[in-house]
Amino acid sequence: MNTSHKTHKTRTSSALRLAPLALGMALAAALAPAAFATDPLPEARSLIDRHIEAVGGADAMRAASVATVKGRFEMPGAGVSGPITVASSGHDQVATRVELAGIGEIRSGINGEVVWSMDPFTGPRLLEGKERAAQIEATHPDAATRADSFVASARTTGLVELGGQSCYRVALVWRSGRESADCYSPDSGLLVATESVQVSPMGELQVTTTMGDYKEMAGMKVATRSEQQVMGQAQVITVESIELGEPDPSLFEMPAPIKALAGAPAEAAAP
Amino acid sequence: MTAQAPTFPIPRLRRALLACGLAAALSAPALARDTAADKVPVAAMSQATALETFDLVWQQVDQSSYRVGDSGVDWDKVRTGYRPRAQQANDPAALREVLQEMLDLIGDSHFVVIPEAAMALRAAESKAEGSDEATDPAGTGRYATGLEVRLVDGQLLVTDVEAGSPAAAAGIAPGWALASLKDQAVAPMLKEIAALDSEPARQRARIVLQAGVQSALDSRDSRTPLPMMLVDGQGNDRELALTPQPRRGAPMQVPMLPPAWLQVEAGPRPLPGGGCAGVVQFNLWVPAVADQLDAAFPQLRDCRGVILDLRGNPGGVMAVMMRVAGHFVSEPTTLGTLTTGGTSLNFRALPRKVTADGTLVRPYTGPIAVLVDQLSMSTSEMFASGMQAVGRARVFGTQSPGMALPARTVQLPTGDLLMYAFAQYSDPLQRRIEGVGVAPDQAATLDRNTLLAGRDPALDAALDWITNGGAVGTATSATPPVSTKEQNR
Repeated sequence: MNTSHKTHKTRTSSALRLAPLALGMALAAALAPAAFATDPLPEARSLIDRHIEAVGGADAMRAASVATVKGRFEMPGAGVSGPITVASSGHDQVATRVELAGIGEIRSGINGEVVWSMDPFTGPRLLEGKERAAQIEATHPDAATRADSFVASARTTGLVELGGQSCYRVALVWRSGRESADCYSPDSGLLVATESVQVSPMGELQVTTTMGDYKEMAGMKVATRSEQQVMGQAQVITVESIELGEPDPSLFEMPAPIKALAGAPAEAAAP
Repeated sequence: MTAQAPTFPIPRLRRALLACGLAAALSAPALARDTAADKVPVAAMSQATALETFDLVWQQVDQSSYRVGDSGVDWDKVRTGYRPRAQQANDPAALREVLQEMLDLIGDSHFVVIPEAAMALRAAESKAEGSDEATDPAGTGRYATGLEVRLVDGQLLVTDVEAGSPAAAAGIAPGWALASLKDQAVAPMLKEIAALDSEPARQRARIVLQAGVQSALDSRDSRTPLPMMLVDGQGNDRELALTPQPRRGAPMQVPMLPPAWLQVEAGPRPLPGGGCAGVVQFNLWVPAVADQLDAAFPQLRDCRGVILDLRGNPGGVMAVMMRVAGHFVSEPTTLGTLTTGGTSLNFRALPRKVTADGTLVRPYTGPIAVLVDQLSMSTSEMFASGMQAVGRARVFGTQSPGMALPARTVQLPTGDLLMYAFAQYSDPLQRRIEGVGVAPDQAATLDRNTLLAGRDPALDAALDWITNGGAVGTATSATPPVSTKEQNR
């Protein structure tokens, strides 16, 4: 437990319920791009490209999409923490696992066309609609570079204060219909915050994620700390290591209930 | 005459329990550890720490989206009155008393200060005392007498005796009256409760008494006999000393809540005329319950109905109810809605279509009975109300206490925890449970003769209902809900 949070612990199971999405999006953001900006309102694409350049380039980002990332997930206010592992082999093999003492395992993944989640509160399920799109967009390398194949439009809306820092806000409209915003530091060009709407069976929540502690890791600059505020609760992911290369294949093994749902007729597999 | 609050067996947690919801949810371990807390040397506390703690408590409540002002409390005025008193507190225990008194002014559950000692698993203390498996220093409730008690017709009656328990070995039977426990007579406490000046106060005091006594019966050192006086079915005094023994279950530690002892029982029960009813009983809402229910459910699937016995279940982690309910719904089903700061979250059960080992199944569509009583709190009430509201379950028993709010905890500079409500909660019919409770569709009240005859009216009614087809929506005697809030006004 981070002792700096000792006097301000809060807990809510509902926020924890939303952890899987938070994990995916925060990690994607942590591994996403950084830039140079000088004009008061630079073009959105230039801000995105500057960020990509600052973190090491698109090739480095793509290389990092075949890797095993290890770190720590914490909800300081809830007294909850545990190791997190994210394994990815390109965009269609992704597995996230968080182990939380007293709560259980929160798992999610992408196996080809199957996008799934399994947690202690809703059980095993296949994701659909906006939730499915968000999960893919949180992990696909082309989504991380805000490529045209994923992003329908990007527009700089202003120099704003977000997550306690000044940054250029870029409003994104995704081809999936989802909307979100990036915020890039005028000084470093790095992505320092995002705004998005988390979708879950419990409803939709506005979420702000801040990224920081950029460090050289696996040949690129990585935001090793990301923090989300969900209903007044902080969720913190700290990246501790990135091992490039094909992950252990067992990490992509889907849980038995997910395998069964994935192999079932569509009617049976839907929630 | 307006009476003062009664002196309960464990007075330090009296106010805490009065305000509890989720804390009361885990009140048994908290109460159990109160004795251990008494052994902890009281550390001196600076005025600065006292004020820092007070300010944090006041601010957390002030900034909570729950908006205590809606309860008619002038929170700014409260600060003016209580801050000087907090400053004068010499130790954390004294400060806790001041803080809890302040929180009690809100009049809702889930505003409670939990002592630090109730949270710590004291492994070092255990070793120092040379304890072994015969002790339960963490006070999880691992050791028990096997007695369950409730207030019935003005008496504290034994309502259940666990088979194979020390109570069963001593020949105690349901219907016996508990006259004293550890040399503390029950009658004077009941008299004090009866003299309280309002029904809400009496109702909460009754909950405190029952929870406190039940905790004392469940969580003692196994090497220490627990002296008690009971009155048997023939009216004879029976002086006994029960030595608590290990019970089934497993220790459970949910972050930021006191350690607890989890018991989950699930199995089929034969019905007259053939077939079975699945009976599921658990004492806390924690993720491990859902795991165990997943594992047990295949043997219940062919039963003609399922009974979820939530009597005495004080709540726990709210979100667990979604996964438990998933076994019983064929479509995504909202059990209730949490609202805070303009944001709403739906507690939505998703149909469970696969077993833990990967076998595809259909969600259970048979009749569901939910049993509640005066100690079914928090998540138990949310689940019962939600399943009742969507017409998926029929609720049997007695009205629940209405202590159901979403809560968070914050650690204070003293080491104690503040639990505070941060949101409103309502069921699918927009019914607020807090201060109201869940009214059973079919009331099943206890009386001594029934207990002495070995009957369990709520369970019997649920079994009869399932035997007869279990149609939901054929309520025979729904008790109209009584708002304790309204009674207060």
